[in-house]
Amino acid sequence: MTPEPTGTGTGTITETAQRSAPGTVEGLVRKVGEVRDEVRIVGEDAEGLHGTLQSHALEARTAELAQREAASLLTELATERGLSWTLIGKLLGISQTSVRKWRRGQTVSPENWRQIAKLLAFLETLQASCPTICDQASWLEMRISDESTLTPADLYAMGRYQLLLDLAGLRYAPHEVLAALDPMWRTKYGVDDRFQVVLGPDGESSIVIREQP
Amino acid sequence: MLDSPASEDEIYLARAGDIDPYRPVCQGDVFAEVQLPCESSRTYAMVLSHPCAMRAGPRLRARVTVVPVSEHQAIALAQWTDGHLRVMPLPDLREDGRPHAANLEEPTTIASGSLALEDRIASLSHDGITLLQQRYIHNHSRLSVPLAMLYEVSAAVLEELELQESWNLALVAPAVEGGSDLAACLEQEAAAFDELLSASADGPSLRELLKTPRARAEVRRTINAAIAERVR
Repeated sequence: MTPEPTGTGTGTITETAQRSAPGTVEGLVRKVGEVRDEVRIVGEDAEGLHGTLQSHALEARTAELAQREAASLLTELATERGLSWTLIGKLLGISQTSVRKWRRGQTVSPENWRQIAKLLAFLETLQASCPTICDQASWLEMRISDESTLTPADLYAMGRYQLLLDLAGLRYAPHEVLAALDPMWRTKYGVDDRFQVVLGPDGESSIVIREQP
Repeated sequence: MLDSPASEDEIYLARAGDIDPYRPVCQGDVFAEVQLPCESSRTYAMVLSHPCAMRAGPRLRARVTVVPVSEHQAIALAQWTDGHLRVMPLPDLREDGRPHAANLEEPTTIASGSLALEDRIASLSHDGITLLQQRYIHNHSRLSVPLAMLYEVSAAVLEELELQESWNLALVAPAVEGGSDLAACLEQEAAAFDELLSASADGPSLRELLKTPRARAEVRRTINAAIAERVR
């Protein structure tokens, strides 16, 4: 009877290990450990290379987009992509006062211009590489985890583009991303469980003190 | 216990020369030349009514809650968290750089019609508004509510005000530049905007959808498309 497959590649590794160290459990343990180490190293190399390539692609697209007028880029972000002006300011690390001036036609500095182009390039990258995210603007505003107040927009504002792309690509679970961002995330960015938001009697959101179990 | 902004500039949306009439009146707006009850002369005042409660349809309610604003000793960012708990600091409120503060101890109501848009001298950012809410709640109840939670319950109406500002910039500003009356245009477009947000023939209204974070981007796109259609 042909044994059922135990998972992608698992059978191959097991067979290789058995061929290499027939008959001894110690030999098997050593060989499988070596294979595991190799897989980890290859995985880390691939992760690093993938990150480098994504970063280069993002920079290249940023350079292309930066050739457009800043006003045109801002209009696309706001009207077509659906980002609020407040969110644009937050993502770019720019005061709301400055964003408001841009909306009224004031000049954008070259560095901010580039950052605006980079934001649009990032959204394009998300759209292309993570088709499961149907609305990039909405995704940026959703909490990463029910246990944290952080959103992808917060990570973007911190410059953690690679971490965000890994989150969007489902390469890391939310809690892994938060731990990679800051091992103390529960203390710094955890949800305050003293309160909760509920629907009030007038149909609007209200804050109430959470009942303790 | 309480929070402080990352920088003094962060609390403001606009001041002085950056102010224009196209943003709807909102919590945290500071007006000059306000006549408060029991005051002999006109003064600065900040709107305190919550953005969810200050309107009935497209219009401001007949009366709004305000607190007086006056010059105050400078309050460093580090002092926001554990001192001066009875005021909302307003650093660099005017071009002269003199520090001011809103006195949260003295709320009063005035006729909303007495707030003239040309007398508005500052508007707070979303961060500034939630910091104001946090300090006001704490001053009157000793309860310290996290900013993220305050923002969560105000986000929909703050989004609505930002979209209405875009609406006004696209539809009212050109009309006013063409010679139309500002107040009449603002009132007319406020009604048109309210009608668009309230319409619910085929499901939830845009205003209802704004309450769902996941739907906000789509609402913005819908309203921007409506603006583009009107401008065309």
